[in-house]
Amino acid sequence: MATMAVITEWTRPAVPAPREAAPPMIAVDGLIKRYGQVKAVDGISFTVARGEIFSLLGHNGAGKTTTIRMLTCQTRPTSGTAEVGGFNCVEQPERIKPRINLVSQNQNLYERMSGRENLAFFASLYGTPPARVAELMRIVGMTEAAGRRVKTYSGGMKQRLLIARALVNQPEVLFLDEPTAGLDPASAKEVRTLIKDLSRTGTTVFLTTHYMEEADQLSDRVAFLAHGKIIALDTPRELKLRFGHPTAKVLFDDRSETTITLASSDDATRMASWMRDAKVLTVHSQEGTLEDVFIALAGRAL
Amino acid sequence: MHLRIILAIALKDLKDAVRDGRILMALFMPLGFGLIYNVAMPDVQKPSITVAIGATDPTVLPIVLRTIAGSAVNLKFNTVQSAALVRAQVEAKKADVGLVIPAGFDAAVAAGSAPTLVVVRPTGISTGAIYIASALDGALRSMAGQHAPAVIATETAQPAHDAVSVISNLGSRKFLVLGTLILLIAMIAIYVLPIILTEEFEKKTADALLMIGTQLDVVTAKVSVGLIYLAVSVPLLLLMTRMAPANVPLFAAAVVVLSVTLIGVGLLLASLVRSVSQLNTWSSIPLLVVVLPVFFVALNLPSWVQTAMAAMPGSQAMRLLVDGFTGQAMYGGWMLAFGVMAAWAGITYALLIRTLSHRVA
Repeated sequence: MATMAVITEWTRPAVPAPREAAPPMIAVDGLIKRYGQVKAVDGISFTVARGEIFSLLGHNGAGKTTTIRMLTCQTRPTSGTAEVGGFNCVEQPERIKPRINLVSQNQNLYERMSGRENLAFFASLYGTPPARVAELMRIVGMTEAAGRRVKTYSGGMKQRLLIARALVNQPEVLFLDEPTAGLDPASAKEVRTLIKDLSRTGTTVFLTTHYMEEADQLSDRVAFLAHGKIIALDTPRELKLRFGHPTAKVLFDDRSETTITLASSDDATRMASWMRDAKVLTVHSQEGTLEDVFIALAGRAL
Repeated sequence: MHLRIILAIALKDLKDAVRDGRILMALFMPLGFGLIYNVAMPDVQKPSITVAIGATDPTVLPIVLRTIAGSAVNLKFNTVQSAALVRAQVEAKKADVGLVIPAGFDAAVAAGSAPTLVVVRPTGISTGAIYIASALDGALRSMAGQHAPAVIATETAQPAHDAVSVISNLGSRKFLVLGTLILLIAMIAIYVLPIILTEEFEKKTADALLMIGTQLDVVTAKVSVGLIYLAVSVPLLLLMTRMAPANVPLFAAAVVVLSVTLIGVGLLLASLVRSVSQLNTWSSIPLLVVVLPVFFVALNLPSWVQTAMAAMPGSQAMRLLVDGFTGQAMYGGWMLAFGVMAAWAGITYALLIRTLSHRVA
């Protein structure tokens, strides 16, 4: 498999800031979306800074995809406001669309066309010079497979092509809806590397995922969504410190082991006793995980 | 609407169609029918007779023979200078029959002096020679200023302008080709166009298009593709089947109004189904509703059936196409025909707008 090129340069045309200096790239306030009696999104509010990787985590049906659809001007909110790059998603979609792009959870490529033809088509939609197609194929490590029909690609190759397609207009904000769902570990790692590289070029990344570890590795900040509401929003580290349960695995001289909770005073007393008696061989501390945080907040694992 | 986006989508669809067997099949099947009709059903031609005339003086005999033959036979005259050349033409089968006309023939006939007219027949049976020999008596009587003993009036057994007379006047091949033309328009509008639109939504590729364009851009691009297919395939079918309409404006107007109406039906169908497999199931119903009545106009059916069929766009389009092709008002009622198709278009597009507005909401 061809390795992906690291994105080291990113030449995006200068876009004047629409508001005051350093405004948020995404600003959502009291956003609600109803489908009949069902509230898919229930009054969420948050901002995302320029160049930030922001992750939205939640169960299936929590409202993640609906939120992305509203932010990408594909679905009108029932109420509340959503702005991208300082432009209103309902009133100014024409200003937003050229500045954003989306990697959908559906591998929605034209399967009878080659990878190169797919990119060339989207380049023509956005008015991007055709030379960019080869560059994007190189960036996602697919130069050799560019002429093959997409229906012959593996899931990982399709996902990389989707990312290349989403970069065709050099977006300021890239939305990724479950970008590693269904990928093998190696392909998922490549995609995550690509996302990290993108962020380094100043692209704002808005990510939804089921995978807590992925969100933890990639995100500057994470929001947990449950039943359409944001139940927690902070940096992964802060969330883990606040809601997670750090533990320690203790190995004794008789080769038995146990796990203690560091926040528990009882466990701390027991630990002090074992140390005093010189029974302890090793202690490995374990930080709380985002999954622990989500279980603590929403009551069940993703 | 964004022209660049519409153009890009339309070009993509045109290129993609080459790799899509369903679309190729739908496009080529009616053209194939046209070819089959060409080979299997040759047009009934009027008999043609070539007559070699050897005359030293001018004569009106060819004109009189042509008058008697009327539209039943195509007569062609080869004028030569001598009796020997007349015989040579007949022997060489360059003429079906020869007439050697003596000098001063017309004046002698008028004077009642019974000049000798030689008929040169080929060896064997020649229908042309028999026809000319039997027509000569009447022609010579006419030239002599005599009246025929009786006037023979020939009438067709069928009343004029009914279904059967349309086919007999037009010929089965041409009638079927016009029916195939409507099938072609229906296949593109009600099958091909909905497939390419439904597939975009079913496979979610439309979501990627809507990241830069609008629903109107996507639908307009698909309609443009349908119109391009029609603009190429309709003239191609006519060319392949050697069909040249006599009343081009009427013929073209019928094709355009039918196309617009059926594209509306196709878009409505695409807006109602969720998948291409659903489309394959349901598209046969509007296809039958459009195509079957086309052939009913050639049948002498009970009047209530004819009235019911008259409410169908395919039936009315066929009437217009027959009239446009022949250049005669064989069916007439053009305003009614256009009105029926316009009514179908109005209802279809109103339903389409209603369905789309519900979908967007």
